[in-house]
Amino acid sequence: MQFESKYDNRTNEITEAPPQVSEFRRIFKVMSSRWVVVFGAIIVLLLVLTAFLAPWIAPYDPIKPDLSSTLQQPSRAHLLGTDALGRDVLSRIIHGAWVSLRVGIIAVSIAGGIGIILGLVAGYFGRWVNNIIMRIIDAMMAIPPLPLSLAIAALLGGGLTNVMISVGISLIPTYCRLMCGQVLTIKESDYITAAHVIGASDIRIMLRHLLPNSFPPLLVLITLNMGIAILAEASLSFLGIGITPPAAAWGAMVSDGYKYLFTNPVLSFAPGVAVMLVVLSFNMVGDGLRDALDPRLRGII
Amino acid sequence: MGTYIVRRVLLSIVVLLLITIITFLLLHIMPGDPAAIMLGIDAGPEQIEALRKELWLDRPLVVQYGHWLSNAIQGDLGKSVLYDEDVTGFITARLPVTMHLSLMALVLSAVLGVGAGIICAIRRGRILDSVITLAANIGVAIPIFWLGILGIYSLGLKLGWLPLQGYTSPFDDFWLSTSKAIMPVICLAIPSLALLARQTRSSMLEVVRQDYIRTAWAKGLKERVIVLKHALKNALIPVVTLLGIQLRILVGGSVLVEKVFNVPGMGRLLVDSVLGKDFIMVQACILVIALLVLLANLLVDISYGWLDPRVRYG
Amino acid sequence: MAALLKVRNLKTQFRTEGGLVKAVDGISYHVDEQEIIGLVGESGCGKSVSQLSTLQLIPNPPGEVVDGEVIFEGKDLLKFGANGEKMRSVRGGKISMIFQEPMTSLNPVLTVGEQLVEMLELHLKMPRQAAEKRAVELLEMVGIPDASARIDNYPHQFSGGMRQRIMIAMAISCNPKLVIADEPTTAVDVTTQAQLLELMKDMVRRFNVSLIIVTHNLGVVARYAQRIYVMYAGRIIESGTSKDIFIDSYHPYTVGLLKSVPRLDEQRGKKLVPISGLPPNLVNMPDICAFRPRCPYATQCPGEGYPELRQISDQHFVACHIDFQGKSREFYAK
Repeated sequence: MQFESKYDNRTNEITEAPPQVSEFRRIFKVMSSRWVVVFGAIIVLLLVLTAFLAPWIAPYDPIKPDLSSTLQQPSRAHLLGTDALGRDVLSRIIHGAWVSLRVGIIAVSIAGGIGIILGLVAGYFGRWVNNIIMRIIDAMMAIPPLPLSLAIAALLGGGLTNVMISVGISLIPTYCRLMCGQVLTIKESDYITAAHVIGASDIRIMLRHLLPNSFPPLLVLITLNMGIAILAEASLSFLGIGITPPAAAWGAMVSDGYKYLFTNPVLSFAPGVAVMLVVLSFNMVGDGLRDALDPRLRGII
Repeated sequence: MGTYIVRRVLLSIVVLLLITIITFLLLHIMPGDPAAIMLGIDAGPEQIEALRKELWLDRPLVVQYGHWLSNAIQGDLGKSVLYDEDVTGFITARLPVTMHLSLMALVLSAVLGVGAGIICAIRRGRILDSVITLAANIGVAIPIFWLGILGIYSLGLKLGWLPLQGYTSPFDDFWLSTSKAIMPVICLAIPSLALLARQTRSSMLEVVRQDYIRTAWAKGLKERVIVLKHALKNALIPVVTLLGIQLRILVGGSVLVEKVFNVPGMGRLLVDSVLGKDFIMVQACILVIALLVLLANLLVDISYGWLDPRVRYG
Repeated sequence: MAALLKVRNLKTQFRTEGGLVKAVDGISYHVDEQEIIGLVGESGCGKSVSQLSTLQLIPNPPGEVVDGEVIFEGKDLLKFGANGEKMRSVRGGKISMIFQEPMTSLNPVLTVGEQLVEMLELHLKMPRQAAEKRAVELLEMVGIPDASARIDNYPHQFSGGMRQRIMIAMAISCNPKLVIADEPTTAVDVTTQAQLLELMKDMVRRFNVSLIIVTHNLGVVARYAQRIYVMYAGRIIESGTSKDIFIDSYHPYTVGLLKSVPRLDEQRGKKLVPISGLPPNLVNMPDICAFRPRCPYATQCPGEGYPELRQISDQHFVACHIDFQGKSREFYAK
C-alpha cells in the first residue's frame, strides 16, 4: 500500500477489509452472547460431571432397598423423597445421568458412524448407488423412530446395550440424508475436480475432502441428536424396555412413580424434569452451534 | 403436474416395497428362532416345530417373503400368537382410535404452530417472540409421557376438570369423547406444535429477507398483505415438508400417550405386543404405521406442487 | 424546471458487529421533473442504500436513517412514519423502484399478472377486471409477446430480461412521478442491457416521469443521464452534467473510473489503468478524504479533514482538496 502516512494509526485509520478474527473466538463469542446457549452448555457440563462423579456425589446407594423408609415425602434427609423400595430418589437420578449420557453417546456414535458412511457413499458415487441407499433410507424414514426402536429392542431382547443399538439404528436416516446432501453440494466444488485431476483415489477424496468439509453441520446434528437419543432412551425405559431393574434410568423412574402419583407425585415429576432439562440443553447448545457455524443451516437441520 | 404426481406415486411404490422387505426382515434377521422366542421357554420342541411350520419358517427366506407379502396384500397379516386371533381384525379396531387422536393433534399443532411462528417472525426480538421461542424449545425437549402424567395429576387428580384416562368413541358420546381426548391430544400435539412454530419462524425470517419482499414493500403494500400473501406462501413450502415428518412424530408419540392415558389404540397395541413378544403383531403394526406415514408423505409431496409453481410446472 | 425530489444531508447508518457503518454520510442531490439522473459508484459505496433510504426501505435494525431531509413534492418523506399510510401511498404510487436482481425480485409463488394487478388495485383503486386489462396492456407496452396469455404465468417461466421488463411494467403501472432503477441491467447480458435501457428511456418520455439510474457502470449512464452524481464511500464526491463528468472530470476518483473503462475511440494498444487499492471499509471511518489511500496525488494533497463539495462551474461540484485548475495533472503526479 502506498499510503502509510500520519493517518495510519490506531484511532484514525482507513482499512481496506474488516479486521480478521479467529474463527474459534468468533464462534465462542456468538454462542456466549446468548444466555440460553450458556445455560445449555452449563447443564450439559453438569450432566457430564454428575455422570462421572455419581458414586461420590450421590448421598445414598441407588440400588439397595431400604424397606424401613419407603415412599417418604421430600425431607432434609431425602431431598426428593424415597421410592416404593425406600431408595433415595435424588441418588437414583444422579446415577441415572450416567445411563442417559452413555446411551446418548453410544447411540449417536452408531447412528453417526453408519449414517455418515452411507451418506458419503450415496452422495459420492451418485446414480444407482445413491438411488438404492436413499430409497432404503426413505423406507426407514417411513417407520417412526420410537416404534422402530421398540420393534428392534423387542427382537434383540431388553438390556441397555440393545436399547443403544435400537436407538442408534432409528437415528441413521437423518445422518445419511444430511451427509448425502452435503456431499452432493461439495462434490461440485473446483477443489474436488482438482483432486480428481491430480489422481486422488475415491477413498482419499471422501475422507480428506468431503468428510472434513461437511463437519460443521454434522457437529450440529450430533449435538442435537444427543438430546433426541436421551429422550428416546427415557421413552423406551418408560415403556418398560431397556434397562434391567434395579438399575436407575430416568424414564423407568417416571413409570414406577406413576403408580404413586396421588400420594408421591415427586417420584414421577423429578426424573422427568431431569430428562427435559438435559434434552433442552443439548438442543440449545446445538442451536447455538448452528447459528454460530453457519446460520444458513437453519431449516436444513 | 401430472407427470410430477405420477413420478411421486411410482417412487412411493418402490419405497413401499422396501418397507415390506424391512418389516419382513425385522422378524427374520434377528438372532435366534422367532418361534422359540414367541412361545417362551416352556414350549416343547414339537410345539416350536408346529409354529415354525405354521409361519412357513422352515422355507427359504424368499419363499417366506412372497407368501407373507401376497397374504398381506389380501389383508391377511397373520395370526397373533398372544391372542390367537387374526392380526388384521385387531388393527382395524385400534387404528381409528389412533387416527382420531393423531388427526386432532395434527390440526391443533398446524394451526397453533404456524400461527405462533408467524407472530414470532413479525415481532422478532420482542418479548412475545422470546417467550414463544423459549416455550417452543421446551416443547421440543419435553418428554410427553411425563407431560401426560403432569396433566393427569394437575387437571385430573387435583382440579378434577378432566377425566383421568381412557377413550370413548366420538360416535358413542361426543362430549365424553372430547373431554377424554383433550389431554392426550395436547400431549401428542406439543412436540410437533413446537417444531412447527420453530420452523415457521425461521422460514418466515428467511423469506422476509428475500428480494421479492423488498419489492413488495416498494410497491406500497400493507404489512398484513406482505406477510399473509407474499411471505407466508413462500415460507410454508419448507413447513409443509415438515408436515410429513409430523405424522411420524405423532404416531411415535401415540405409543407413549396411549400408554399413559390407557387409550386402546395402535400405539398401545404395539407396546403390548412388544412386551408380549407377539412378533407377528409387531410386524403388522410397523407395516401399517409405515404405510400411513408413506401415504401422508405422498400427500405432502403433491400439495407441494400446489404451493410451489416451480414444482408444478417443473 | 422545478425540483421534484430534493435530498439534503441524508445520513444512513448500520450498526454491525464490527462497529458503526456510515453507509450514506450526508449526501445531497436533487432531481428535476422529467430528468434522468445517474448515480455512479463502486459496489458498497452507499448508492443503493441512499435510494432505499428515500423510500424508507432500510431494514431497521440494523439500519437507520439518522439525519437529513427527503423533500418530494414539497413534503419531507422522512417525516412520514416508515410504514404508515402516507409513506405507502408514495411507494409504488408516486415513486417506484426497479431492483437489480430480476431473478429474485419477483415473488415466485404469485403470477406476474397478480403482482401487477395488486398494485393497480391498491394505488389507482381500479376494479379487478379493469386492472387485469390494464396489466395486459402494460405487459404489451414493455414488449412481452402474447401478454394476455402470459399474464397467468409465474416468474420462473420468464427469462431474466423478460422479468426485468415486467419489473419496468410494474414500476410505471401507477403513473409515478419518479422511477428509481437500482442497477437495472447488471444481472442481464449485454444485448439485453441496451434493450432495457432504451425501453426505460421510452417509458420515461411517454409517461413524463423522472428517472434515477443507479449503477457502477459509467457506460450505462453516459448515453441517457442528463446529470450524474459520483459517490465514493458514502458521500458524493463529484456531480455535474454528463459533459462535466465525462469531459471535464475533476476528482481523481472520477478520472480513475473513466480510465478503467475500455473505450472504442481510444487508440489501440493504450492500457487501461485500474485504480490501485480497494474501496475502504466503512466501519468507523475517520473524518478524512476517504479516497486518500488510493489517490495518486496524495503526497501533494494539502488538505486535512474531509473536503467539502465546492462549485467549480455552473453545475459542476467536486469534493477534493487539490486545485487542479489551470495546472497540468502531471505536475502533481510524481
